[in-house]
Amino acid sequence: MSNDMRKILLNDAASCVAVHPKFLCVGTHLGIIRILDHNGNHVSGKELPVHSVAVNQISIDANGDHIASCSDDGKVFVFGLYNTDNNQDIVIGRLVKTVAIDPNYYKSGSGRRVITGDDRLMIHEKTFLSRVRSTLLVNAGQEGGVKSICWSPTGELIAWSTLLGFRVYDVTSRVSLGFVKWSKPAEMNLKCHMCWRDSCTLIVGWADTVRVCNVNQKLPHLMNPTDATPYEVSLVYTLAMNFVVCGVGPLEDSLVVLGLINDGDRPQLHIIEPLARTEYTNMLPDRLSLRGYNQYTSSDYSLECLVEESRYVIVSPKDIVVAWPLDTDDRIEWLLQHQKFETALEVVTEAVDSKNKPLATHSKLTVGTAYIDYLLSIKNYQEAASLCCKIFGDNVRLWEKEVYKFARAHQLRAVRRYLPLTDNKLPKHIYEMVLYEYLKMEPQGFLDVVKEWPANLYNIPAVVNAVIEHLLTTDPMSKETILEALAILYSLDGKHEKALVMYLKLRNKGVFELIEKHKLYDVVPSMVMGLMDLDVQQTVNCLIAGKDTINHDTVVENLKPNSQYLYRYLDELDRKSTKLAQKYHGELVRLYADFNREKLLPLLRKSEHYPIQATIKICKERKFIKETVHLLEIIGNTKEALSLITKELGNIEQAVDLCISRDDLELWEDLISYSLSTQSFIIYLLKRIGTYIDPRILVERIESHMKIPGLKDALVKMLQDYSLQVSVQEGFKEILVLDYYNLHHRLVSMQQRGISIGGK
Amino acid sequence: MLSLINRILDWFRSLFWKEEMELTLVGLQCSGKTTFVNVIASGQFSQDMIPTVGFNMRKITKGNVTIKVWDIGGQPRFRSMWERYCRGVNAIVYMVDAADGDKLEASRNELHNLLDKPQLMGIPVLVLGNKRDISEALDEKELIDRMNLCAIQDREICCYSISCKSKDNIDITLQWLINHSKSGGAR
Repeated sequence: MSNDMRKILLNDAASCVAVHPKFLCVGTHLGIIRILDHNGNHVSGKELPVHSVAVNQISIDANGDHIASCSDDGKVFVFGLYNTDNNQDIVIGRLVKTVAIDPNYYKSGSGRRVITGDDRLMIHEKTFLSRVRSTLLVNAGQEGGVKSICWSPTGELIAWSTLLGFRVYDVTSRVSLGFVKWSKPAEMNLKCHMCWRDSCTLIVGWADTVRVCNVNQKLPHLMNPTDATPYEVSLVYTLAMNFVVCGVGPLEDSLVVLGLINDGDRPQLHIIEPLARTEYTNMLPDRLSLRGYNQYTSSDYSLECLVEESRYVIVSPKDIVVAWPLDTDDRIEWLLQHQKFETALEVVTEAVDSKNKPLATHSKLTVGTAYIDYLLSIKNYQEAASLCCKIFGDNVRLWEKEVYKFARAHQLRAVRRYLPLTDNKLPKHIYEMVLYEYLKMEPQGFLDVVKEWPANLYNIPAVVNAVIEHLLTTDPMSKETILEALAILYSLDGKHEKALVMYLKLRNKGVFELIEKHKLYDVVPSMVMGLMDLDVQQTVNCLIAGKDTINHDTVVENLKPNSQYLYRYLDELDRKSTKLAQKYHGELVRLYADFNREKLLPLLRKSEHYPIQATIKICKERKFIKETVHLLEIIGNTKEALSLITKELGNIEQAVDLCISRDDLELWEDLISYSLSTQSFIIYLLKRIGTYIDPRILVERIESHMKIPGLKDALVKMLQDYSLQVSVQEGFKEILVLDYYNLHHRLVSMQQRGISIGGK
Repeated sequence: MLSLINRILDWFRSLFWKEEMELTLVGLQCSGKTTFVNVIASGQFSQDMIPTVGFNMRKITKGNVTIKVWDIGGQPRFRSMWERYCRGVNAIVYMVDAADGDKLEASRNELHNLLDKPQLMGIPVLVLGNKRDISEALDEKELIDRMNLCAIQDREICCYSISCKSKDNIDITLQWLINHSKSGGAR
């Protein structure tokens, strides 16, 4: 014990100590009584220089209101610590070795009893009107005087000892309950140490023996009418030690014994566990190095105890030591001090789980925090972070506190994985702190975190600002990563357009996902060029997907500079929705002409929404005969069409078809004149023409001397056709005439029929 | 003769009506604990107090209630003892210097640490915000908020703003204390 205690013991020496749960009283060799707290601090104004020589014993009542002291100067004092109403100054005039104050002294009506022991055992009590009456209880002169007195906790019994043995005495009925004799004649200078474990168990230490007595209260119906007291004393254990007992105290079911083997040795603290009447086990004697131990004998030491708290005060003249059993708390404390954190954590978890002994100072939290601090100090951040999760669970306040520690070490990245993200969210600034650290230290990580964390964890605009600021200073290597993260942030914030711009800048294909996810088709037209540069197919898909809302004019306008893109777009649009594409068919025609002629003709056939003259021009320029022919046919310029068919295409069948469809003699003549130069055409014509026009026109125009292979067959065919035609016409005529006659005949017969007139 | 009769009457009254209570007064240093004890004991306010070393023990009689006060030093080295002195008392009075915003957090932590101790479970707590005569002192509401008193659910807790200097609200404080004596005082 240090503080003021050390100062006191520097100039003086402790002769006795009395303990109370709230304070201790120290009596010194100079006769002064001091009151100290349990840390050894002097309580101001409580210093009582009362005795002229060493204080022999101090006794405190149960409430800590009054203390009694005695000394070799022959005086006994009782002081009230709060008032002087019940003070007593008793002059005995003999060497008063021991004093005991009634534990109930503070109660009014208790009689304010004090028992003193010198040669005689005397009780002093207040009677009516505050008079003090002293009564002699026992004269112990022949037994060497009273050695010690100890009041039981209830105040009904006292234990007292002499050189011959000890007795238990019933104060109420003033009867001795029994006498236990020491086994050996004792030496004068030994002290007898007594301590009540509870109101019915007494521990007595004398010389080298510790005895434990039980005091039982007889049941009323078993009492003899002659019995003066209901109590009975029985000796339970007599335990012989191999040292001189300097103090005893209880520790649960065991005993604490302060012992000294030889004078001048270190005193030892033993834990004795009684087994049978005389047997015991002695666990782990603890040698105490008290100041100046080599000069002291057994009578200089004593042991005081607070039974309820299992707290022991070992008194030597120059040193006062407080001892208490190591509980789990102490064990944890020790483990922490020796940096055995893992074991400490196990111990504390076990203790918390078992729940039978609540820990007073430590908890999973204190140990865990200490461990984390330690891990941080040795820079094992990963481990520390994983521990956080276990220790703090979902306690937001603790998390917050701990995260700052990581922040100071710039190791928020380690703890990131363990931060609670869904339930029990931490304040936003914590998450922002983590983001900033990533931003500065690990751009890739920043990107990952941004992707991973839900957006409601942090204040997006704040982070965006920080990112933008950071971009000004960052190196180009990481710029792209950060820009991507920025794009994600923008889109999280709902500023999708900004995000798109960012993606485009990065040429990141994530942009399409973004568009699709958020249906951002509206913004596509304005940046369609950039998107096309990135990925034509995906852009087109986007445009088509959003075809119902998109402003196609803008798209077309924006794509004009790159006809390839425009072609892809319009082609796809036409395929998916001809209606929407109609507007652009003129454009599309041009594009097909450039990129995909195959599709041109079908389009021309299908659509009516293109400027024909311009298209004809395009087709003519590119010499797309088929297309031109088609167009010419449409506008009715069959003449030109026919000439193209025969001259350019050399397709007589088509030419014939054309003529047939138009049924125009002039056209036929044109065709005939075109065909005359080519034999195969003539043959073909000869074969086909018979059905439609007068073949003579053709035959007459064939030049003489012209060699036409297969002419005979062709002519035969032509003539057959012609004669067929003629016979068909004759047949028709016959039928017609027949019909005419028939009908006429019917008409005549109708008119000639008799008609009944009048009559019924 | 009259005085003798009075004494006998007092004695009788003390025999039958006397109430006892024990309370512990804790709080950071310089919050005015010892001053508060002086004020409730004798009405004396003293500006210059020396810091309490260890503790002061006082008994104060108010009406028929005798209050035993453990006034514990508030400096950090004494704080480990707080729990010991708070064990088994009728009430814990926690003094806060309401005008010292810097120490408020430390005060809050110490209070919560103390009340977390299993041995002090259920003991009523009275938090006093002292020095309300100073203009920047917090009032009860702010104090409850800053001291996070709402988090304490397992016991009776009360908060008053007082001034030992101007003897403000000392009466309600005493009344609260008396109501928490062993049998509830004159309730």
